[in-house]
Amino acid sequence: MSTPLIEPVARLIEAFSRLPGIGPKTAQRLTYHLLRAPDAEARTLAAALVAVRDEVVFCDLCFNISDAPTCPICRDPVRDPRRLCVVEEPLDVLAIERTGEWRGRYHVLHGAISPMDGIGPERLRIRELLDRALAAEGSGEPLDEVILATNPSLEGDATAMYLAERLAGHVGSITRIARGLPVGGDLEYADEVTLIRALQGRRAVEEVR
Amino acid sequence: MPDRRLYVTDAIVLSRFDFGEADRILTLLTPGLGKIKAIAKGIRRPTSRIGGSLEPLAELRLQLARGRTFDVVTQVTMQHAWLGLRDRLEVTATAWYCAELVDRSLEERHAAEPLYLLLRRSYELLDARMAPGRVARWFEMRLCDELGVRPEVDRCVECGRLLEAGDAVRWIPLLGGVLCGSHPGPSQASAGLSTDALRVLKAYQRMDVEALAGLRLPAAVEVEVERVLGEFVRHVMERDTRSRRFLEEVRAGYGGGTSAMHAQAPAAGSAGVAAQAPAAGSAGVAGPAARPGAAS
Ligand SMILES: [Zn+2]
Ligand SMILES: [Zn+2]
Repeated sequence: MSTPLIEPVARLIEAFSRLPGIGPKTAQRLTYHLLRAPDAEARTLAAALVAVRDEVVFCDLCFNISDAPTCPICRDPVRDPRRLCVVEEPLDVLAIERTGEWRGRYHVLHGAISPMDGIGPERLRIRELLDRALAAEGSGEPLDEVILATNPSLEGDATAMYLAERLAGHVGSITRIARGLPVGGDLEYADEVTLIRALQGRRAVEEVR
Repeated sequence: MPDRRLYVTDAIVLSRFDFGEADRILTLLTPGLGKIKAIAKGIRRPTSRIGGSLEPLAELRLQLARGRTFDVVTQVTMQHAWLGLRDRLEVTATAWYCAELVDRSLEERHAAEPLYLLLRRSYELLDARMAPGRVARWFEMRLCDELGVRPEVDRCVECGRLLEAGDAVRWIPLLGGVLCGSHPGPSQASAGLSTDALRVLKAYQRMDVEALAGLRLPAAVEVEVERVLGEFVRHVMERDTRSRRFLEEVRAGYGGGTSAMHAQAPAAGSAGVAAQAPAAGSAGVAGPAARPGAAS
């Protein structure tokens, strides 16, 4: 066909195309962009890639990404250590932090239970969450609240049910984030499951202040 | 002019995975086309107008456009949401297990209406709160039937002799069912099958599901039937199913698992077998019991 690619170029295209959301076309475009770019730009990118692997670790307590054995949120004395918000991914922590509404701490599971994909509870940070709850209970200061903020998907719901069963009796209260319609969304286009869940989770109008 | 690339089908999502920036690739079970792969574009954006309704454990009606690699989902309406499948973990895990067995059983694009109807029926039963273990056993037996590997429970798989009550039989999935005592083979200790369990296996082949739902079975027999049918299905599928491991863990956690069931057995219904079995009786397989939930 055409002239074969030079080895280093082919290798970079291949590496880019393994990234989520990047197809072969985009991989080629990124590669040729870097070939034309100033030397410093490519080297900065390379250094950032290495640093993200070398310097970023998972927090020993909550398994969020961190630059130290304990992450900034777990180190922050103002954050209530007896309230945990359980999420699937580090990106979910970022999303909740952006709201500024949560003053407790987190636990990142790194996924949700999905047996058909071979992801059972043992593949997630569930053991560590239970250990945290049991350690708190054992110290005489059990967790006040655990919010299960896994995604409102089949897998997220199943994970929440699994955790609720395992945590029951060891923590003060277990809550699940409410599900409903997206703000700015159109009722007409909501799917039936979302609508039913939204109806089930309805609240008296007086409560909404 | 109608677009000839478009077609409409009922479907149950068997599994799915994220693809690209906001897309998702679905494995669908349909009555007419069997198992097909399709892509739902932009579905992971909150503004997607096909959104959450493209989840497993529901019957959907889809409009798809034929595509080069995957057909593309263009419209979705919900036929049956079966929300009861999502409210109890053991039920969800059982529904996953059934879906995985169907997924494993089918090649892509081979018509599979019987399996579609079977999966849909089992979801209806789970949604209607039939004991998940009963639905799973019924499903396993019907699935083997549809795949042409119905377990032999009436005649010896080696000599064809019609088995009589009280015969010592062994359960040999490799040979397709029960083996009578006059052949060499694994020991009774490793492959024995109790008379009661054999009777229940026959019931799963012969009785309709409504009657099965009402059976009163001693917990120990239920556990044995779960084990032997599980061995059979594993042999048919040629490997372990991942969702079965999860299902077993969930049931153990519930206190509905093996050990707890033994503990509860005397209250639940072992009286049925203990009293009736010696009289060549019915292992309680006689008919629907007063309490439909007795064996859950
Ligand atoms: Zn932390
Ligand atoms: Zn024989």
